[in-house]
Amino acid sequence: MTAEHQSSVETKLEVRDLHVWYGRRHAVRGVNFAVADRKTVAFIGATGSGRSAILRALNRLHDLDASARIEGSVKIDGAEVLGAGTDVSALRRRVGMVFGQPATLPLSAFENVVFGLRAKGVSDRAALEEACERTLRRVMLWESVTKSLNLPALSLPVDWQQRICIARVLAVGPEILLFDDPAARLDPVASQVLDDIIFRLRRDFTILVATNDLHQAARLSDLTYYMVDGEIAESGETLAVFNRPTDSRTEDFLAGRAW
Amino acid sequence: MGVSSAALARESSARVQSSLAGGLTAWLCGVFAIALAAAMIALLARAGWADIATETVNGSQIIPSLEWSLALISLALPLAALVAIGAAVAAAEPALGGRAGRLLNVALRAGPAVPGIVIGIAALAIVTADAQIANAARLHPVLSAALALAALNLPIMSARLRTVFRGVPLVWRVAAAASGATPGVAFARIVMPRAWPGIVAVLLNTAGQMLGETAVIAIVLFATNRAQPPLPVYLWEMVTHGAGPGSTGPVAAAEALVLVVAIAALRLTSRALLGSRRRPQGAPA
Repeated sequence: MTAEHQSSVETKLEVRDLHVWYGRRHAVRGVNFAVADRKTVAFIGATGSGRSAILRALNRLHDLDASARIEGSVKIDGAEVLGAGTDVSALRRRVGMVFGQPATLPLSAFENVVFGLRAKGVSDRAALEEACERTLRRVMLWESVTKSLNLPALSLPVDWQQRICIARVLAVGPEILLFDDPAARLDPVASQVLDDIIFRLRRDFTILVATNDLHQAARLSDLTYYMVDGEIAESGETLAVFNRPTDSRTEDFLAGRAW
Repeated sequence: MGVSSAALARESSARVQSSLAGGLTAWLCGVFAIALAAAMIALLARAGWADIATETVNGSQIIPSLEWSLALISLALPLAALVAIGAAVAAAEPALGGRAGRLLNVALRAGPAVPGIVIGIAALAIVTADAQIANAARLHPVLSAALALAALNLPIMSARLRTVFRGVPLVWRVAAAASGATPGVAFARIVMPRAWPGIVAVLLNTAGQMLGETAVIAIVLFATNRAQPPLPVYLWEMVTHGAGPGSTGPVAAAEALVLVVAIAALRLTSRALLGSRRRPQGAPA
């Protein structure tokens, strides 16, 4: 099924006939979509519907999984990224990813934030400190965490860890942000703060969010794609999908009915 | 359907009995181990180190034998470690190992199932099959024994090291990769610092294994050579030729314990190192 929602704004991301297999399981079945620059897209659907598999294909995280296989085309700014010649490290800096479980590294909070910069070869202390402060301010954590920057990040509260992970992604200057159920481990208050952070990031980045939280999807996204069994069952402007779904499966899912 | 209170009571009683039996068994084993260790220490103390050190068996003494054992291990261990660490990294880190890593994984799953002595003897057979190599082996018994010891310990050492690397949570590798780190950077900055104590522990464990469980290889190589024998060969000669003239029973028995104590010391050190490799607070499994 094809979901074309290109506005007059230039297309940032274009996915054509994307298939993902994990061993014999066909997780994503020929998905097509395009996302305009600085638009936010939400992928909703039941667990195992292929939302995360799509996100992981966009920054080639499947390369780390020997059982995963991808076919199709993913283009960013018109350039294919699934090909053999792609600089995967550079791609992952352009397409940053935030996971459901905070992917906190066993380093201090400061080193967590600047990890990507150090991996890129930045060693100037002043530049690292500037990036650390700038990104922690963007995730509304700078004032709270200033005194804990040298503590192991894993010892900090989970919601702080998640924001540190977002700061780490922002520090390397991405263009596209992928959020894979980012509030999965957070309480409702922390989840609300996270929504606020993502809401502010919408102005500057193209964002794709895979989420179980329908309120989050409704609040944050311009477009919503509803996924069933690895296919996009319905897609459209978020308000339209939520208020006037055309597919009965979407309607049942939004109403919390099993079908 | 409800469960009767009698059935619940029976189940509870069976659980209590089972846990009591398990606890008693563990307690008895613990008492036995402590008693054994105490007996060993008492025996060594009664014999006296001076007597043990001066005991001569078939022209050899225990301290030079122990030194030769350590020299042998100091040659064999780095050789084995170099290859084993490389194999374990390739097997445990798909991003670094690639297809070779996948093949190594299969080999490392099967390797430890083959008794080390079989691999050691195979290594010896290869050495002795060629006349020139066999001659060189006779001329350089320490080097050839070290090579055989290294080959003998490679499979189990590589498998243990792979387990150490795999003990570092996968989510950290994924997080590092998602931040734009190359596999090499992720390995050097995230995996290696967490794996290091485990690597040292495996090396010490292997050293203990080389010291004790690989005596057969040493015996084969040293039986025809009158160089100073390593400790297992010294003990073997004590068994086959009898203790030195004038030796007392406790001294002979205590000499046999020296090997046990040396291995136990290495194992305890490795346990202490593994104990220090605590998972950071909040770290994923």
